[in-house]
Amino acid sequence: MQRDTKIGLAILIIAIISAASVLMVLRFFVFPPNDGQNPSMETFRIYVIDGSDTVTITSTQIADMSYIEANSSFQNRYYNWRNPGTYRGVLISALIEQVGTMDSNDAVKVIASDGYPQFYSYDNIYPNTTFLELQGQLILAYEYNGSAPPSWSDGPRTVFLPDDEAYSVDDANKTTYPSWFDDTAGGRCVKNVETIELLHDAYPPPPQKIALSFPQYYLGSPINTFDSSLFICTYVYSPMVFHIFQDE
Amino acid sequence: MDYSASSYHFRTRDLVTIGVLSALGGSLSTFIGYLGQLLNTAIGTPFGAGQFLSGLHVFWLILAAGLLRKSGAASLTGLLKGFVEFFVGSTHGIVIIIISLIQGLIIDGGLTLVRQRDSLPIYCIFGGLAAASNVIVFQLLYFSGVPVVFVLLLVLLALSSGVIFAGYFGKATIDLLISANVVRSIHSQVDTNGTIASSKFYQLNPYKVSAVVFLSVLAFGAGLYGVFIWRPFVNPLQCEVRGDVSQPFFFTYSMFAESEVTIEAELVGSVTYIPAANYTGIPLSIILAYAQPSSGATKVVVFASDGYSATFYLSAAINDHEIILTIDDGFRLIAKNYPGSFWVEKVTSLVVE
Repeated sequence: MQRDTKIGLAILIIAIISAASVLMVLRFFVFPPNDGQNPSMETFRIYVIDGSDTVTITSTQIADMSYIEANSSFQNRYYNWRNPGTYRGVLISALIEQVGTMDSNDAVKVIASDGYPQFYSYDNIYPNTTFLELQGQLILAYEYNGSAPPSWSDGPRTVFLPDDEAYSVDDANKTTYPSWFDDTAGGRCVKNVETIELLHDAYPPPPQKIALSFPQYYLGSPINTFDSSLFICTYVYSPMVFHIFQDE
Repeated sequence: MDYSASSYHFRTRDLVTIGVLSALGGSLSTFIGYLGQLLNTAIGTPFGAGQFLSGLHVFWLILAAGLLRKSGAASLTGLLKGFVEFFVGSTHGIVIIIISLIQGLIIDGGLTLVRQRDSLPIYCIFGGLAAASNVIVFQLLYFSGVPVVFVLLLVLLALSSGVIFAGYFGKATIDLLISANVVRSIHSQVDTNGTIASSKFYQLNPYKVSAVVFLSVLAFGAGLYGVFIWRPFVNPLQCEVRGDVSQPFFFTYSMFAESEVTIEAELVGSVTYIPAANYTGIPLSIILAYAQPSSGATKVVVFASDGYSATFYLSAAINDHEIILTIDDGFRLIAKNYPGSFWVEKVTSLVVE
């Protein structure tokens, strides 16, 4: 082999090694790996709303926030355990605080990209000791078992992180405001979260029961309710109508 | 007046060679840009990795210098190739002519300085330097504001690319073409009968095989790109919305002119920086709303006529009113809150997935 060819091949090999090294540096240091997604590349956006104020938080910004990582799983309405694994995410409270302050009579509405909503109480967002034991912290998870959106097709997702790593239907029942409980713990964990809205003084009336009252000749007589113990006297002057009575 | 061949630096055959190489290099530049984008995607970087292919732009200039072996051959090829790239719609605009010319000047200047110019190391060195120059020139012209370390990494990557694709494969291709009698070099060995010795062409060696494989891959890839990806003849003033939508449709700017908005945005890319300026266009969200994406759709991919694409999350695109489509000699996507790689020129289709 000629001397020039040898030198040329040596330069070629050096170039190949250099190119490979630079590509690796770009991949692993300049743009660190994040499950195939470059963190500088925006993969989702969360809109945090408080009245007329909206703060847009990108996946990149969320990745820069303090995170919590823990194992968790949750039960569906048939008591089957679903999605066990390690979740990494930021506290919902931290996201809320980007736009406003939550009081004890406020609620948080989380909406998925397909419109699916879930409501969370103050105690869900800022859990006291009892709630911490039952539900743990509520986070917006952006990684599941090291996989981030779009590889993790459910993310970003609201997830509860109880100490026992198991958010059961019973836990959900005990920590969910009655109007919002739908016999499932998994349903409380919203997939593909898009909007987080702070609702002030927005608690809905608790579950309602229907009582039937009869025409005016029964005036003043509480009769014929579906649950007479909850009956509140009403005066009806019209023909048969339905009245709604609260159970408290 | 003496019109004999000796009066001219370049003979007709030389000029034809320069023309052919410029046309090939210029027209394949969009293909190389597309490959760069694929490489970025494969590596997982938003930009930068595409510089690994920058040597392919210089390959043609090395061929011109090596085949013609006349001073100015690479520069003239670079200049002409720059014009071709400009006219086929380079996203860099007229700057590409300067870039390409400078690359040719570096090769010509370098080869003029050395005594033994027809050697692999020399081609590798000056091919590398020419390829690296594009990063430096772009920084000088635009100063995109990216960190110096990042620029140095790109310079090293482009330099390596020039060594590999322009230097090594360039020299291998020159030798292959000469030994195959496809072209004649002034240094071609001529036997006693006056014919160029070509018997060595059939003596395969890894050097030749690598050149054949390289050219085959380049030609095959360019063919696939030309047939399936490149859409140079679509109406630039019309854009298509298709994919996972209830109402696929073509639109022109005037259809949504009433929804026109003006935003202020600055482009920050790896090599390009455009200061904050006002852009007037139609919010992408308005167009997507008209198309009615299905509930299961998650992404919208914005395609350009050269195959370049940028992918946005559908929810982000629908809620972000600062992603707009402007119109000039074609649709251009301005994405205020995104890196420069998300700004797409010559948009031809929006595909919801």
